[in-house]
Amino acid sequence: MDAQNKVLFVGLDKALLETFANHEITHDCHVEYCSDSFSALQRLKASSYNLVVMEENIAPLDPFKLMDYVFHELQKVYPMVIVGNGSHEEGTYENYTRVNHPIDGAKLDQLSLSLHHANDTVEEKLFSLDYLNELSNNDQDFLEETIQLFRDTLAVKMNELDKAILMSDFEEVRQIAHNVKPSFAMLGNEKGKSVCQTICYEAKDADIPELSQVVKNEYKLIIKEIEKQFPKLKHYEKEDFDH
Amino acid sequence: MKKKILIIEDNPMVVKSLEFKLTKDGYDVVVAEDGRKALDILKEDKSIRLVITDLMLPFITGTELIEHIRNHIPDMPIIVLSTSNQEEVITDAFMMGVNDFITKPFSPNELSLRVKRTIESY
Repeated sequence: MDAQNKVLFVGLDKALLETFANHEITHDCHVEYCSDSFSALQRLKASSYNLVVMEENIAPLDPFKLMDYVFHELQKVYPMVIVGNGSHEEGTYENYTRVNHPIDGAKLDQLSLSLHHANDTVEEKLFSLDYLNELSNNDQDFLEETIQLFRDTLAVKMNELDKAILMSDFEEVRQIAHNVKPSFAMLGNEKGKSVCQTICYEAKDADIPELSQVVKNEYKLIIKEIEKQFPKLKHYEKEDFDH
Repeated sequence: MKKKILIIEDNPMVVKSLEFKLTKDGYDVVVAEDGRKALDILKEDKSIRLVITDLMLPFITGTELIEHIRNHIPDMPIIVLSTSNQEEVITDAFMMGVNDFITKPFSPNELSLRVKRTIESY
């Protein structure tokens, strides 16, 4: 494991924590511990982690509620592992990995794989339809119309962004970034969302042109991928975004 | 009779998502993409039961809109929907007398619960 990897362990089973922390796979990891999900929430608000390992029975929020809160309120996505008592089958599910007690070496290796897998994939993910599917209960029409909206309305906003940069109207750029930030977030694009956030609240004027270019590039990359998955989109929209 | 909700939001994807979810939940939804249109709607349509608004809006800011509503329709419940999760923004919104604050993108189930709770408490 990389030395900079940070793991948050949430639960009451200190023996399990010690087993985990002493295993060779976590040798170079920084492992933090908290006993309840409220404390975990405070840590997740304040810092970033490469992996969150939670016991199934944590309180006051159970693992799913905790991660739901982190995703929707803090707008962060962490790979998670739930350590269960055997009531559900072990395996890798859409958003998490489940392992059951007793935890042996093979299962610890599985946790290690989760960490490496997360490091490999989280940053590469250009877009995800998970949020829109959850919202619409997998309504295909809604999904396609919303993707179309993303493509068309952001094309206009990216052009407005260009004009605002040319005019050095950085307040306008901040407003555009504020407007498009939730669009990136709804498509699960962390980079676009986070750069928009930086433009809105942290960036100096001098840094804004470069950051705006990152947003535009991200938009173009997403559209390229979306058009592979939704080829019909090309037929709806006449204008192209050629910047 | 369905309860009517006014959404004031200028991001079309967010509007579409809100409309979809709230319509599924059994509400009538009216949309204004800026604060000026929202004021016109509120003036003419007395059947609005809840306002859901962004804070950063064209022409009239969300803050000005909220102040106007509090002065003219004090009983109207207001939920702020904002991309900002900064504590001071949330605190300011509650100081202005809003009933709830939801961060974009919203959690669908949480939105349903909060809208239901807010409407039912009035």
